[in-house]
Formats: sequence, structure tokens, C-alpha cells
Amino acid sequence: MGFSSMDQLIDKITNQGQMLRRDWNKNFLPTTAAAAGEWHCLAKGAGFPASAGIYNTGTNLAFQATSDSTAGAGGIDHGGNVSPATKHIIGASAGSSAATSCPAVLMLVDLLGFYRITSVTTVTAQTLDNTVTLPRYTDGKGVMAFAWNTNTTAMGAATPTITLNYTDSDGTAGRTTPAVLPTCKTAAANGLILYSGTGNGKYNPFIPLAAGDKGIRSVQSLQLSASYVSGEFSLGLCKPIITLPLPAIGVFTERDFVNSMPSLPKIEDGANLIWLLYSGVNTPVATSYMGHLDIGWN
Amino acid sequence: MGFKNVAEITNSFELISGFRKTPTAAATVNVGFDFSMSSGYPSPNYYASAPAEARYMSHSRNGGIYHGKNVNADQSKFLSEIELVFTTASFARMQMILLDYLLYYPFIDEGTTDEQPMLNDETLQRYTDGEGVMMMAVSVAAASGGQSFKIKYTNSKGESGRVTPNIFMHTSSTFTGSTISSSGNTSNTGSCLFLPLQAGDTGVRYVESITMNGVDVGLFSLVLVKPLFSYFLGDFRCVTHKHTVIDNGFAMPKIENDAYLNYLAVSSGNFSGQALMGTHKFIIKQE
Repeated sequence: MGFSSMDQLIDKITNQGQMLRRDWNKNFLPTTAAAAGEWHCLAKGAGFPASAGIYNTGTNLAFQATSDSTAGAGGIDHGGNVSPATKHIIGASAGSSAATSCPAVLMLVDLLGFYRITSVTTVTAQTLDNTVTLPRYTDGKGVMAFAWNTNTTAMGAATPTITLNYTDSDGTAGRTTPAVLPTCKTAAANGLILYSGTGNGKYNPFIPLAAGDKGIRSVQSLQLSASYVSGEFSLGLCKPIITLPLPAIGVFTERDFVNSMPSLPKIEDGANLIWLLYSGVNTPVATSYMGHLDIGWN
Repeated sequence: MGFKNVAEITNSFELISGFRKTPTAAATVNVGFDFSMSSGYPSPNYYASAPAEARYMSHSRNGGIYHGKNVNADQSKFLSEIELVFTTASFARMQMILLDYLLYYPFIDEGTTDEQPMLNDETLQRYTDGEGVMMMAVSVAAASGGQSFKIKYTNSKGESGRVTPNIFMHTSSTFTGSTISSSGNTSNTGSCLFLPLQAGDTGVRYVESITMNGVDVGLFSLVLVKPLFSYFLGDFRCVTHKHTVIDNGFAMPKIENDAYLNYLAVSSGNFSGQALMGTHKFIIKQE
């Protein structure tokens, strides 16, 4: 539905009260400092929303859908469902005053669900269970995949590559991750997106799609090129929403998505809003990032 | 009632009020600082009332940034512009968060691990269901820091017995006006500017009790606030001008009648003794 005019936006926000503000404060993971160039998922970081507890639970290889009402998902609350109205981000801010916290980039994603992967020593293609399907963006358009360590314990000492066999957003099956395959980091720490960083085989932050593809509808199989020895990770499917650059310590980024960056990013009913963090420096453990979202609906 | 269109905004009634505060405490990097306790205009607030007893805050009772008289039931008041500047050199950049201070529980004792029940004879006067109401813990007597505590509260849905995760006090020495739970660059986990709530909760209606997990020597006040507007304050002698219409996507913060307005700041350095001055503009739809 969206907003049909500035006047309607003003009326809905100020007259009808259809706006809310959500403050958030997430700490970088508490286990290992980030190396510059790495991406981490902050879902398990302490703070508000509370640390997520779901992403290392459930049946191996089975897709689990998540939403804002999923216990332990750790998403930022955005006020519940508003359908038939639509909800949009009006403004956002983020930053940190902690030493060695910036430069950095925060990416807000709607984490649609995940496949828990505990069989990390298996080197053949592992069939994934898609009994549960995408809860939002059901055609998969714009949906991306990332794999991250969901445990406090680091992964094993190995550097396997990851290959996905997936169905794209056009419904075409048998699509595969193109060369050069994403290469995981040895002893990848808590929260690290396994193949992120700098160098050959590193991708930031999503697993690359085959040429021409615009998104993932489901993943049929995942294959590691070598045993990861120990630990577990999850393969998440998400829809990127907004990106906030944090240029310097103490310099908070503010984004107006109406006037200065007219886009009014849409938040679907049930969205599970999670931050991904790109470290421009070696981010110390438990570094605090904070910000807010202004959300309005028509 | 708010505005129906741009024309009504431009034809609104305006009120401009002054602001000048000089914090006396030496702020620490990434530690929140409560400007309401600093000298200047508006007059300082000291959270001075009976320990552990809820005391609501309002403009008529406590002061805060002046925003004009109460408006009628069919009108609404909004913050439209802010202009602030630090005039002293050696200033550190900071994030400013304008808060409506709603209610506080003063003089919480950090020296006992007994569960400390709160008396709630007074309740929220604004945002009465607690939706979007956050908590911050402000040091009023310096401690050593490093301990943790948890809070039992009733959430915005009216569910009692909700419990926060363990909240860690930063290991920098706390100073009057600092938010004790702010994370410094240490390995303290669970530290936040606003205290984290139990998973799924989106606000606090009132606090039932506070329990320290380990003892310390200080005192803090637990303050319930409604965050209204955030912005970045740049270098000294550079006026920060924010227009909540143009710069914030028309998301003008609504100012409730009798709101107590003041600031929480998160600095990247020490700003002790530096005067922060400027103005705030509020607008009301013409009748």
C-alpha cells in the first residue's frame, strides 16, 4: 500500500499516531575480537534485544522459519502486524563511542529462517529439509544466504569451502554457488560469517549467487569441501533492509528515509530484524553499538 | 491532533525555549551521561526523594526543558527544531538522546545482595501502559563498578515478574550522572545504555524489585524514560541544527503534556566544564 503523498505520511504519523520508535543496543560477540574486513551476525550479542538463543537449536539440516514472535530469535520489535497497512522505516541512527569500534558498517536484515548445520564433518552434499518454506518474500526475490557460527565455541581448525545447490527466485532448481567458492575461516569464532574477510574466496557478507539470479527460494543441499572438524553453524536466509555506515568513533550515522534517502524501506509483518556488522577495524569483544529505528505505517 | 499536511506544519504556532547546561563530571568514553543532573538551565534534577519509592517526573513538578503550556485534548505538540553547540575547545563528539523522564526510584543501594522491593504508590503519568518505556540506571553516589544486578518488573502488557538479564556495571569508576550500565571498551557483557528487558518485552510499566548480584559502595537511581529523538552533536563551535521534519522524515517527536524533557548523552571523550547551549523549537497546530 505505502504512502501516497507527503501529506498522507504527515497525517498518519502526527495525526493518527501511526509511528513508533525503537531503541536498540547490541554488543559485539563476547568471545573473540573481529579482524578488520570480517562480518558478524549480532543476534547472539548481549544487549537489547536480548541475546538470541534459537540459532543453534533444532533439527540438523531442516529449515526453521523465524519471525518477530519466535521465542529466542532476538529480532528488534517493530510493533506487530499492521496488515492491510504497510510498515516502513522512516529514519534510523546508529553508532558507537567505544574505542576501535569504527569504521564499521551495520546492515539490518530480515532473517527469514535458518538451517542448523551440525554435521560439519560431512564432505558430501547434504540434503536440506524444506518442509517449512520462506515465511516472507516467498518467491525468494532479494533473499540472500549467509553462514555463521551460532555457538560460543569456535569452529574446528579447517578451511572448507561451501557450495549451495538452490532454487532461485524464478523457481529454477539446480542453481549452484559459482566459483570461486566461499572459503571458511579456520577456528571461526562466535558470530563470524564463516567466509567473510579479505582475500581470495572471501565474500561479504552473502554467499554469491549464480549469474543472473536475484534471490534464493530454498536451498536443496549444502556441501563442505573438507571436514570442519568440530563445532556447528547455521545457514540463514535473509532479506537485506538498510545499511548504515559508521565512519568514525563517536560519529553517529543518521538516515532520513523520506527526504534525504527517499526509499521508505518496507518492514513486512512478522519481520525478524537482525543486525549484521562489518568491522573496518579489529573490533574488540563486547563492543557496544547503539541506535534507533523510527517506523511508521499507513 | 497532529498535522494533516505540510501546510498545517508551516502554519503552526511556534515556541522557542533556551537551553544551557554545563556538566561538571568528567565523562568517560562510551559511558552515558545524564544531563538532567548538570548545572545550568533548566535547573538540575537530583532524583532526591525517599529511597526505593517511585516518584513521577513532570515539567510542573521537576522542570526540564521548557516546552510551553499543556495543549487541549484535540491538539498535539511536537518538537520541530534543535540548535545546540558546545562553545569550548577540546570537546568530544557525542550522541544526544532527548528523553521524556517519566518516573524514578532513587537511592538504590549497591551495598546489599538482598532483593530490594520498590514502592509504587506513584505511577507513570504519561505512556501509562509502559509501551516503549525504557530504564536507565544513573549513578548518584560513585561506586567502584564491575558488579551486576537484575531487575524484576511489570511489562507494558501488564505481566508481572518479568526479569532482566544480568546487567553489568562498567568497570570505569562510576561518577555522578553516569549511566552505570553503559559498556566501556571492556569485556563486560549485557551492558547497555538502556537496560535490556526480558526477551519479547517492549516496555516497562513499573519496577517491582532490584537485586544486586555482588556488593559495591555506591547508590544509583533507576529512571524510567521514553526516548524521543536522537542526533549527533559534532565538533565544538559547529552548531548542530536538526529539523525533525526535514531531517527526520516528518517523524516529529510528540511531546506529551507536562513532559519532563532532558538529555542523555554518549560521548567519545571528556566534556567536563564545557557549556552546551542552544534552543529547542516546539510547534502546535493552530486552532
